Amino acid sequence: MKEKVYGGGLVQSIAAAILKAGLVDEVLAFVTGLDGRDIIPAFITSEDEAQRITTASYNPCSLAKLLHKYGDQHKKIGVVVRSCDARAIIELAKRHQINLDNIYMIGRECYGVANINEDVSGALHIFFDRIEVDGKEQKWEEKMLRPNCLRCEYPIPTMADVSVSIDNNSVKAFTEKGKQILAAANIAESEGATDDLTAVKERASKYQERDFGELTKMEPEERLNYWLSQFDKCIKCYGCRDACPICYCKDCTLEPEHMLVKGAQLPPEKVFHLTRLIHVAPGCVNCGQCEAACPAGIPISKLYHQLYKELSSIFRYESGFDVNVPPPLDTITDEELTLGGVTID
Amino acid sequence: MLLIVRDETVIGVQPWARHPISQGELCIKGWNAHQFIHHSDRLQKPLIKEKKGFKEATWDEALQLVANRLKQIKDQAGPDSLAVLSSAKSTNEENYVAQKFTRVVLGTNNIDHCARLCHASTVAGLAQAFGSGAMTNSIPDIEEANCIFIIGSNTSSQHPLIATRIWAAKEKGAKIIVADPRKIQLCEIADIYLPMKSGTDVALLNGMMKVIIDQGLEDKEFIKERTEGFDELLKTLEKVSLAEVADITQVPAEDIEQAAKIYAQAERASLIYSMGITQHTTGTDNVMSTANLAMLTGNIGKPGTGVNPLRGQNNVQGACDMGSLPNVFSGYQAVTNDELRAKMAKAWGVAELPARVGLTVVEMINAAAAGELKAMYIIGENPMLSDPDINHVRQALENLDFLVVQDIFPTEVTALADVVLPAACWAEQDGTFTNTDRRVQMVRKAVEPPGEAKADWEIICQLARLMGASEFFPFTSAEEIFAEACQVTPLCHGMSYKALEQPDGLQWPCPSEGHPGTTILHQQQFTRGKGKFHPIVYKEPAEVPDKDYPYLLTTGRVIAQWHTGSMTRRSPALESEFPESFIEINPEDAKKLGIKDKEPVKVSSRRGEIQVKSLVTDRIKPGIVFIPFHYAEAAANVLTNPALDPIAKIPEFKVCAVKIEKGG
Repeated sequence: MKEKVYGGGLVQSIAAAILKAGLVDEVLAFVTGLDGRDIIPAFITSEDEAQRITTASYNPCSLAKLLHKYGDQHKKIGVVVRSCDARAIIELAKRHQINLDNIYMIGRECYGVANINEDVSGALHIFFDRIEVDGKEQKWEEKMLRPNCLRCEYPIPTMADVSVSIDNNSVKAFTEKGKQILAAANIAESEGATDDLTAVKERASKYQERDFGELTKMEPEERLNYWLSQFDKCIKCYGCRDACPICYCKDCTLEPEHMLVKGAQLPPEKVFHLTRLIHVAPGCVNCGQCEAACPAGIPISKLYHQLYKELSSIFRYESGFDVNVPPPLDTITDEELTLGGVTID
Repeated sequence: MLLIVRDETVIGVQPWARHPISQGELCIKGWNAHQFIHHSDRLQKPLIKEKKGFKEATWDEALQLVANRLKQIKDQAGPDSLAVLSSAKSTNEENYVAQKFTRVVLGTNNIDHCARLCHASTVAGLAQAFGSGAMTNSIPDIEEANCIFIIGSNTSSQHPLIATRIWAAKEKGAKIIVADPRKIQLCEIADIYLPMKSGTDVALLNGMMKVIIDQGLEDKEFIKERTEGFDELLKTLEKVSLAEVADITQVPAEDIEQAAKIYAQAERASLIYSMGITQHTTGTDNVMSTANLAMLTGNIGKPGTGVNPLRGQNNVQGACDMGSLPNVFSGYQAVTNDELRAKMAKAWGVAELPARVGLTVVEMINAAAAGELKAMYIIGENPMLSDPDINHVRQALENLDFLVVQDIFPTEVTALADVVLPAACWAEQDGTFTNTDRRVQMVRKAVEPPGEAKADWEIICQLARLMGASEFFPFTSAEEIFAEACQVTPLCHGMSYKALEQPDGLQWPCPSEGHPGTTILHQQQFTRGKGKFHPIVYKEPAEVPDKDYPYLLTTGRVIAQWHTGSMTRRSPALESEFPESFIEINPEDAKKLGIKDKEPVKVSSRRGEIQVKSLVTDRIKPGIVFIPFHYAEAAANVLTNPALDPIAKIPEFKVCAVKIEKGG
C-alpha cells in the first residue's frame, strides 16, 4: 500500500483522465524537477505528463496564485490542490478573479509541507504522525514542517471537487463536478465514514494557542514593538505580496506611484505592512507562502493568520469555503446599514 | 529561479525553492529579473558607425570589418596595442573563449574585466595569505556562526539572500558586529556597530588584533600548527596603540575592544566583507588584514567561520576562474610561469603564448589616453559609467583608433563604438555561472535572443574564424567549450554538464570526475600549505579631504538598481522604486552648507562636477557623503579618483575628496 503514495496513484490517474476526457485543457500541478526534493509547478497538457505529478510534501508556491496570474481565463483548468490552495481559489472567485466554472479542483489530503530550511537528504512525505524520507520512516518533529502547517485545521480539502487520500489510493467527491471527475476517471468513491479529524484539530489548536498566545500575552506596546522590529528587517522585495494568492491587484497600492509608501527607502515605512495586512487578512488561508518567500525571515504568516482568526471570530466568517459568502470587511449587510439606529443610504 | 514562458516570451519569474542558496526567496531584482529581456531597446542587429550615425549591417559585414581592423592594428602597432574587456555577466564558457581569443588570436595578455573594479584586491590579498583568492566558506554555513563580523558590506541591500543567513544566525543567538561609515540596515540587528571613517580598515583591524593579543585571546595552537609569519605581525602590532586607532577610525576605543573580544571569544566567527574593504588604494592590505584577523583567532576551515568576500556580478567569480585576467590563464595559472604557459600552449595546439602580464582595466584606459593602446573589444561592460574619473575615460576611448562594443542594450559606451554587436542575455542561452561561494551552476535557455543577436561565445568564435583561427575555436555548443575549459583548468577538472545537472551545482575545487566539490576551503591545510600572516601598516587613502575639497565622498549601490542601469533602469518595477540619484548628507553638514532635504546640490572633485538631489540623513557620519553610481544623469564616477592599489590595480571608489555647494 505504501508504494502508491509516491506516484502512480489516484491524483495522477484523475489528472490524466480529465485531460483525456476533455473536461479540462490543462492541469496545474507540481512535478519533480532535478531531484526528489525539487518540486516545480507545471501546466500539464498530456496524460503522459500527468504521470509526472508528485504528491511529495512540498509547497514551493501557491498554485492558486499561479492559476490566477498565469492561467488562461478562457481555458478549463484542473488544479491539484491542498486545502489552502482550494480555499484561496474560492476567495479569488469571490473577488471575481477566477471563474470557478472553469476550474476543476483535485484535492489532496495534507498534514503539512516541508520546512525546506531543515537539512533533509531525500524526498519528504509528511503524514499526521510520522514522516518518511525517501520511503524510510522517521520520527515526526515539528521543525520539519512549515510553522503555518502546524496551525492548520483543514487537512482534507472538502471545499474542492474531489479529494484524494494521503496514501493516494482513495477518493471522495464533494460537488457535482467532483462526480463528473470520478466518472471520467472511472473511479468509485471510497466508502466508509469520513476520517476523524479530532486529533488534527486539537493539534492545530495547540499550535495556534502557542503561536498566537505568545503574542497575545504581550502588552500591546511590547507586541507592537515586536512587529515593528521584525518589519525593520524588510527589504521591500514584495515577495510576500508576489507569493500571496489573495494579493491579486495588478495595480498595487503599495507601489511608489500610489504615494502611500515612499520609494527609495529601506526598510519601507510600516504602512507598507499594515496596508497589506488590512487588505489580505480577512481572506488569509494560512498557506504560509508569504513567510516562505521572505528573505528576512519575518514570521508574516503568524501575524496574518492571527488577525484572520480574530476577524473570523468577530464576523463568524470562514474564508475559502463557500463562494457565496462574501468577505466581511468588503461587504455591508442590511443589518449593518441600520446599526445603532443610524441609516446609511 | 524559474522562468515562466508563454509564446516565446518570458512573462514572469518564480523563486526556485530547491535552490541551495536562495531556497525559494528572491530580492526585488530577482522577482523582476525578466522585465528587461524583451524591452524594445534590445540591440538586434550589428551596427557600424558612419559619419551620420550608426548603420545596420549584416553579421558578415560587421565581423569582417572588426577582423580586418584588429588584424591591421595588430600588424601595425603590435599585439599589445589591442585589449579586450570581457564581461562578468557572461557565462564561464564565454569568458573562456574571450581569454583564449585574446591570447591565441590577438597575441596579447591584455584581457581584464570588471572584477578589477570590485574584488581584484580579494583575489590578490587572499591568494597571498591563503593561496586561494576566493570565499573560504559556503553561504549556507554562515548560519552556523556564533559571531558574524560584517565590514564594508551593506549585505541586506547588496546580497540580500546572504543577509538571510545573517538574520537566521541572529535568530539562533549569534552576535553581530557591523563596521561601516553608514548606518546600514543590518545595524538594526547589530550587537555592536562601529561607525568607522571610510578608508581606515587596516587601523581598525590592527586595533582589534592588538586587543586580542593583549588579552591573550589568540588561538595559539592554530597559529603554531597552521600559519607562518606571526612574529612579523606581532612586531607590527606592538607599535599599534588603541587610542591612536580610535582617533584614526573615529570609533570609540571601548567599542573596538568589545568587538574584538566578541569576535575572538566566539566559538565560530565568520567575517563577511565586500566593497568597503576592497575598493581602496590599500585594498589588498585591507583584505590581508581580514585574513590576519581570521587566522589569529583560528577562524578558518570550519563551518560558520572563514573570510567571506561577497562577490556581486552573477559571474564575476567565473570570469576570474576562466582567466579573463591579464596575469593568469584559467584556474589562476600564471602567464609568467614558463611551465604552465607551455602546458596551456600545448593543450591549445599553439606554438607559444604571450608571456608578458597584460594591462588591467584602468591601465587600459590610461594607455588608450596616451595613444599606446589603439583598439579595444569591450564585451558587456560600460566603463563610461562604471570606471573612475569618467571624463578621462571618455577622452581615452575617443582616442582609440578602433572600438568594438558587444552588449544587449545601447549604453554610454556603445555610443562611442565604431562597431556595435548585439548579444544574447542570460535567459537566451545555455551555459554556466559561478557564484561567490565558488558554486558552478547551469543557466538554461528559455527564449530566443531578439532579432539577430547572438550569444557572446558564438560571436567571439565567428570572429576568431574570420581571423584565421578556426582550428582553435571549433565549438558548436557551450557544452563543448565547458569540456575544454575543464580539461585545462585543474580547479574544475572534474566538472561537466552532466555532473552539474543537479540543483546544488558544484563548488570548486572539483579536481576529478565524481568529486563532490568543496564546501569549505583550507580545512586541513591552506591551499598554499600554511596560512601567511602579513604585517600591515595603516596608510591613508590617496586623496583625503582638505580645505579645498573638505568632504569625503564614498560611493556604492542601491538594492533596486544594478551597476550602470542598462538593465534595471529599463525594468519598471525597479526603476519606480529607485528612480533617481541622491547624495546622503549628515544633518550637521547640511546645516553648515545651508542645504535642506531633496534640494539640488552641486558636488565637485578634482575630476569634475555633477548635480544631484540631497538626502539629509543621520545614517551617514558627519564629514562623509554617499552617492550611488548607477545614474548617468548624476554620475558619481565623474568625481571618483582613479588612484590604484599598487598590487591589485583596483581604484579607490570608496574615498575621494569633494566640495559641496547649494543649488546648481
